[in-house]
Amino acid sequence: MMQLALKYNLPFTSITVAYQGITTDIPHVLIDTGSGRTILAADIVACLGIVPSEKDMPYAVRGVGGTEIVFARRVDYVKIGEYRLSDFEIEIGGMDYGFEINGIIGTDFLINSGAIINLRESYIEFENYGGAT
Amino acid sequence: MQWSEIRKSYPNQWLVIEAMKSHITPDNCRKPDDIAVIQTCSDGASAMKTYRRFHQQFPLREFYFIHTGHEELNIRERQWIGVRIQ
Repeated sequence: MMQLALKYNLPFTSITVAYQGITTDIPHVLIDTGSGRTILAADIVACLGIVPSEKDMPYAVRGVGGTEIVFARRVDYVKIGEYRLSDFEIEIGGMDYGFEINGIIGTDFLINSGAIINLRESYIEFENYGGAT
Repeated sequence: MQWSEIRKSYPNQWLVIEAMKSHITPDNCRKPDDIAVIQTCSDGASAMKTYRRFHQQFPLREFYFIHTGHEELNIRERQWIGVRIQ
């Protein structure tokens, strides 16, 4: 189980990401059932050595606020609380949205992990807890 | 310019490019038809940083960060509604 903090009336949490054996904790990550993919801010994951490589073909993500160009990377795992999803592909973008947000956990993570979001008591827990490694 | 010409002029180079004209294929790939080179960059991280600066300044223009090692540009597009704060 992991606490959610409501900011701007949106549910934020902290996550841990591991890449090539290095881990980092990332605060201010939005839980977003309206996003199909998980995206993290380029400035934050740079400390893990995640930068665009020559082989990366960028993606275009189109939304209400316009289009953003991102790239994708498979990380060792993404972890929320005690729940960890291994060998998980994230997108990395500038996320220059004008407010404090370091990432978005999308339904690719939430469905895979069997997440239960409790907005009455502000926490997220995982049905498949321990089921995936 | 076309991508093949840019690859010849800028071999093995990180670039920020702008698609002056592009079309979208039926399988949701963006294909730039006419491309301008905006800036050459020393590595991927600086190319992305440069892209972000241009994108913030001119949000309606179609910039990309890309390495010329790619033979073709196949930029997949996906829809996302986006976060709206109160």
